[in-house]
Amino acid sequence: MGHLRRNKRQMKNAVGAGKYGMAMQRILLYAAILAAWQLLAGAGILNDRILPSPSRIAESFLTLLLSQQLLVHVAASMERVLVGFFLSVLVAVPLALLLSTNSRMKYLLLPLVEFIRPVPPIAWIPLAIMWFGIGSTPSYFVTMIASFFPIFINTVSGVENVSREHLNVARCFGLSDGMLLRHVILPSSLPYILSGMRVGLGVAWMSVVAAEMIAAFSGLGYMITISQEMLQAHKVLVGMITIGVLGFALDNLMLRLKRGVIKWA
Amino acid sequence: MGVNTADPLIKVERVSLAYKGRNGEQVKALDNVSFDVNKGEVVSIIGPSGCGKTSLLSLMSGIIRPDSGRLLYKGEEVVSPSRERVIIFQNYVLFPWKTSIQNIEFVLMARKFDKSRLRSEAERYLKLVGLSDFSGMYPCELSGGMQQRVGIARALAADPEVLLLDEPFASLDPITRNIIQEELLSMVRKLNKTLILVTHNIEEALFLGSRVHVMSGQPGTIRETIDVRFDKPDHILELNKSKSYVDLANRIHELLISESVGEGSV
Repeated sequence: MGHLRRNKRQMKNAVGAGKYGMAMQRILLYAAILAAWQLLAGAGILNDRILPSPSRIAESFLTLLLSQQLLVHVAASMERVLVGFFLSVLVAVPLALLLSTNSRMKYLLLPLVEFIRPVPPIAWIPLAIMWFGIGSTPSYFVTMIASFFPIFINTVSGVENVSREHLNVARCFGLSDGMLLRHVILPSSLPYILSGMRVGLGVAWMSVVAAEMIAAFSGLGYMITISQEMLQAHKVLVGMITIGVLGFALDNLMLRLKRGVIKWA
Repeated sequence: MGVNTADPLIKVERVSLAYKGRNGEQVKALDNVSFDVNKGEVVSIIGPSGCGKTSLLSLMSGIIRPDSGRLLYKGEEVVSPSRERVIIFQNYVLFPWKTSIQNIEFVLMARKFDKSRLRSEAERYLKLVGLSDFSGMYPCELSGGMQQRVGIARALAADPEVLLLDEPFASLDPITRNIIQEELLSMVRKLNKTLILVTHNIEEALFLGSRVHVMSGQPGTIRETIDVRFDKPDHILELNKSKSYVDLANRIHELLISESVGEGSV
């Protein structure tokens, strides 16, 4: 387990390189992988229809970008995920606050939440199509369901983790229920809520792709499905890479938001 | 019934308290404790750890209720916490998400202060504890002594009748501790507040208190009450020059020692 405890500096010493040396090694590693991939494809060892070369993927990416097709799909997916996500925040946070501050509500409603939670978001897609047809609405619905649970569960544990001492201070200084919520419970659970939102946005992004593969005529999920049907592996890969990069960017944005908001930790 | 000025401000009457132990058994924390506190008085409660002195403070604030006996404040039974009796905590318990000034403002908000006066009034309390320059800092950016100063300012901002101090200096370094003890005493005298101090520090109990209740533990009872009748010096470190201080300190020391010896022979 010793290697797990090594910090960054020790890592650098271990490989005998400074900050730039490390970065260089990383760049070289990925460049080598890409070069090998390209060479294998060029030598005809890899089938272009199954695994296109990096240059083919890059070319396809540029074509899709210039024709603005890619942007249209990105915009469609992004819009769906953000709408679903924000609707989810609007429902999950107040509901979690209500349940965790009111034991009667908790008793009545928590079993329902716990029973729906294990159902994977994509299992909602058939019902979503039956209810809302094909288009953006099923995606709003599925992303909302997907991000609901991480946000809800985290908010509940945030409220459960408000320290007894802080609650005693609130009582001691005569805070009203409204003030207790605004000045103690909400800020105290905010780190939990934001962590839940971060996880929720990640799950929503994964689910929007799944929803679009079945229930939409636009978006990155639709783009990779239709490309598969047309046997355009390079477009499938462009779609997958775009999904990965944007998912990473969204996660990073949430992390920055959390650090920006939680100034006291 | 009207409040007679001759009545004590706080009356603790045969109060007992038990809590559930780890194995579900009842552990007696306080047994039949009675004493009075008059308005403007500074009372110290000293005892070994685990003698229930902190529970006693929580009872007086109204955060918890006794199992038997009653606590009267201004002749009426204490049934819930009130801003008239606020606690200053050993570990400060500031809200980490609020800056120094915000940690005071929320008390003024609870007191329904006009919004336009919040900031200036909070600044006044912060100035009282000498922290004007640190108003925008979060508790994690302040030293222990500064955090406790904010804790004191927050308590004063409630404009309470009674300050309940739960070993408020225990986690401070000796120098900071002495400075804040002296500041607090002069503030309390100036503002004419009633103060109840729970501590296990003999020097502190005698320097601040005009009366000292010495408690024995498990279950907590008041073993002896000592009236402190000597002229207090301005500085806590000068206490040792007073013969009556040394005698009282020795007396309390003996009581606490015999207590812990007795504990061992049970």
